[in-house]
Amino acid sequence: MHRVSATSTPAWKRWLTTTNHKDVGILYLVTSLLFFVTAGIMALFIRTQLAVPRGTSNSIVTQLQYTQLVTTHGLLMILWFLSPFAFAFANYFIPLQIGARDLAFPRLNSMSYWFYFFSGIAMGLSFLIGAPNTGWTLYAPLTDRGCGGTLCTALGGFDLGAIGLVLMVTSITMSSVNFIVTILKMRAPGMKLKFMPLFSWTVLITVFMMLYAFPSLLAGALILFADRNLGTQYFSLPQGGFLLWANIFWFFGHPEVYIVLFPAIGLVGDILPTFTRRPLYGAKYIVMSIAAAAVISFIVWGHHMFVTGVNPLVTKIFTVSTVAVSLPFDVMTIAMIESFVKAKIKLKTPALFAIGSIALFIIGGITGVFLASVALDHDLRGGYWVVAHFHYVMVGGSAMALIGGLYYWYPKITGRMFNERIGKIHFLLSFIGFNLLYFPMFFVSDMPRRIFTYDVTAWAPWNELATLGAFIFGGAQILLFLNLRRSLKNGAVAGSNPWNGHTLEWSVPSPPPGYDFEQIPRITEDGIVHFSGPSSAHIPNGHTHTTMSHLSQWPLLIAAAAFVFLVGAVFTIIIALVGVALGVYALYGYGRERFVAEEEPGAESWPFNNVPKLKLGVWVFLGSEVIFFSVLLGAYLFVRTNVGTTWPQVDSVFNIDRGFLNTIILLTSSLTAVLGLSFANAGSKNGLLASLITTLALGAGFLINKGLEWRELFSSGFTFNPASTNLKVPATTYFITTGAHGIHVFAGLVMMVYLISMTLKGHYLKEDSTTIEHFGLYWHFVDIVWIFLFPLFYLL
Amino acid sequence: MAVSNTADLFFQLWNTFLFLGIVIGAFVFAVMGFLLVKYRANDSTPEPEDVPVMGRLPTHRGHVRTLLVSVTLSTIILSVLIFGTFSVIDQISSVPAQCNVTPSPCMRINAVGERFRWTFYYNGTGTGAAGHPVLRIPIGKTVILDVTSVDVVHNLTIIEYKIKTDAVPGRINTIWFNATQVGTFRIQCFELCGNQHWTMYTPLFAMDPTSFASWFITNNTLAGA
Repeated sequence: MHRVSATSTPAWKRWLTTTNHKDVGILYLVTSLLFFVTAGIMALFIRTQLAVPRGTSNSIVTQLQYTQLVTTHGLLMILWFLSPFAFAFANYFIPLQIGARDLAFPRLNSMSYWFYFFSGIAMGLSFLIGAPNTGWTLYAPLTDRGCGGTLCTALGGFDLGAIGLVLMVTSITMSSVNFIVTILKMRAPGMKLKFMPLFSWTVLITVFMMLYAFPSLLAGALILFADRNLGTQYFSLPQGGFLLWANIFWFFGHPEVYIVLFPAIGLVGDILPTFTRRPLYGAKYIVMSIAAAAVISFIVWGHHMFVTGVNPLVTKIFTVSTVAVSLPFDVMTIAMIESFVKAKIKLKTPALFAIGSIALFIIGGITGVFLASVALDHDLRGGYWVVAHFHYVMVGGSAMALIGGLYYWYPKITGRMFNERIGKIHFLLSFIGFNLLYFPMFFVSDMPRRIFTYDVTAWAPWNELATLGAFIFGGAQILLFLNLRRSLKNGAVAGSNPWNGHTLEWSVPSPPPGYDFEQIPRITEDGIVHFSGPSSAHIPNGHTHTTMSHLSQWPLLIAAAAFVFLVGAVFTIIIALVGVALGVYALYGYGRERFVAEEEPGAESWPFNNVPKLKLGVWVFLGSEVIFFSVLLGAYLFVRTNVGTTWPQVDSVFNIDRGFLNTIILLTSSLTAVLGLSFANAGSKNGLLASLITTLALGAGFLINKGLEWRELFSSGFTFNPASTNLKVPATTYFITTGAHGIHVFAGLVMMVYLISMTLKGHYLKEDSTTIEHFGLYWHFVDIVWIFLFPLFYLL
Repeated sequence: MAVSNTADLFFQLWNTFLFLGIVIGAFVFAVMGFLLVKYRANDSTPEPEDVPVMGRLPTHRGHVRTLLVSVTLSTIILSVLIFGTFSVIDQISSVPAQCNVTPSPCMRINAVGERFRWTFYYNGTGTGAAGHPVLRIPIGKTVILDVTSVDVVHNLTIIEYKIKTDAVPGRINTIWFNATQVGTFRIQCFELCGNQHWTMYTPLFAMDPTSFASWFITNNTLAGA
């Protein structure tokens, strides 16, 4: 890391190595908008194809291409556009809103972006080589071995798409940890949670949801990858199959659609007060509602499986929970509308988009209640009512609000005002185009989704309208880009607070200097913000006013290494090894780099006042690991209960002695890890070293024992896909679950090698021992997982 | 009159949802529109008393009262919808008890989905069983469809009868209906099953009992019978 001034760093170097939250925000902004345009163009192809009944000879794309377009459009919009767009703003503005100078872990933040970047490259390559054609929901066994034992989709691009997903989930997990620690630990003195703006609140709630939803997708993707490439049989056998994938996917999938929505709602909650000149009505009830909806969102996933043949009682329960989730949204909407009462409403472009998004969200929400009814779903499932509903909430509710946010914060980011007139025209055309595009779809609920073309002439007029709307809506976005581009040079200079807002980002110059605040504000009990006065929170020594700080090339290199490794793992082992080498080099450099993120004294951090940032981060991260292993174990239990009595007898396949030995090894290694921490605290370098080396040896012993065990199993015919039918599911569940655990043990070994090398240099002694403590937390977690695995696989 | 009992049940519930949805939506939009017009600012409008200003984080505004009223009203309305849903589901989810006597007055048909066609079997799916690519059924008789798939997940939907179920390999999902009118209707797959998913549709012919009986006799002998 070096501190350099903005003028001496060449632009390419700045953008590749920045860890500043504002720069990272801009990177996310540009990249996410690129995906918006790409996936939007795909939508125009889809709408053109569907405008009239065509038949194969009159079509503009092939059947395969069409289905690939539909799949990629969905994946890109939901995962690569909506959330990253929201997090562009989260990156840029959360520190400003809470009175911090950056996120808790700036290099991790940069790494989040580069993982996202490379995941996008993977998706792009996937599309070019042969994108998935299974719909974004990737239903098994279509993605797996449904077609008479062979893969239905043998397209080479499919596994690249899986790589894209894995990288994206990694990026999101890192971001979640970062934002949780930042918002909980780095608020300005006196910035109690109750004073936080709505956008900061919704981001906090959203990242918790991300942390607990995405590991389910990761586990599902891992299992799918193994099924496709290693021959395991989770999704291709009836015992697991479709229902298993559906449960894993939708446990993630439903919270996901609220994840893309809540930051947008938070944005509306920030925009409204500024343009109604009154506080938000019932702000604390809005926050409570969002938190309630977030929790309930984890227990509604069954409504995506209403007609899959599950027990009617189960469908009734999910009907109730899904209908119930509309209540908090009810509260939010009413509160926002009440905000207009006796207000002074200024319909500038940001306000138009925010208010427009509320209106569109209402339509989306009401039509969603129809879908909550399992009875009505017997007509609506898989048809265009569903398509209309989710576009109303995701485009109307989420994207439009986020675009309003882009207008709202454009002056702050660029220091210029956009052209208000063109902004209003953009809104009008978007609003009209949007409704013309999606409202007709409610009238063709009889038309199935994802069909290449149709022969029912009654569907045609609605489709024509929708296509017309698509081109108006799509075309209108050109105005957005032209306006913002042109205003960069020609726009009126915006001061620090062109809208007369009250949240803290408007108190700094436009654009803000590298260090954000000259002095961190201090808030008193009555909500008054003190910008100057007695405070030790000044610009850290050594900086000048034009200093840009904290460049690091390691996040980019680590992300690149991960990308190369995964590509190699799928296609050719040599590339994988290159990835490993690059990864080792980059991780080492990352570890060695002396990077100091400034710590502000007196930061508001209730209720985590005595918990250091890094420790909070590790605990939060381990929470996501709990979900990941819970899904894997849940999948195991699911298939096992469906297989029933044909499961192999205890000790007939698995060697209990080896399993027991491994349990002893790991338990002992946890003990030595604890010993190591004691030695570190006491300042004994040799004691720490001995403990670490012993723990490493024990961990290695575990893996060697496991390797020998696997070799024995393979030679007895118990492979990833044994010949004997009775053994297929046991083999699948065993290898995937213990394999995932083994990878975590191996990661621990890598960490220990690094720790040992640093201990040799005299680190981690006395007060410096927190790193050992954090490693211990991870290691104990890995051991606890084994304590669940051992009885489940070996003793039952 | 509706074309089947299932359609009839469906439309009653659907109309309730639609009515409530439109009324509530219209009401909310009316209120929103009214407020936006009434409180729209012009340059002479004074700033409200509690206008948020830089340097002061906003005070709380509003009573929980309105929100509680709204939540209570919503709960009542939503409960109506839930009970309506439960009532319909109870009626359509299990095969009518009368079908379980022997000889059964109901007709049981196997429906098998595969990429990209439906095949219907009237005499079980054993060896030599004759499969039909279109579905013919008599009106006035309870027809039970046991639906499954031999490859990937499909979805069998009888569009006008407002009934559907996923066709899942390794499972049999059962739906049933009682057709009331002679006519030609549409069965289509509603779950993406491959690039030619759009081609997976076939007609359902609801026939009067006599015509159905004469068709059935000529077309449904088991091989060797």
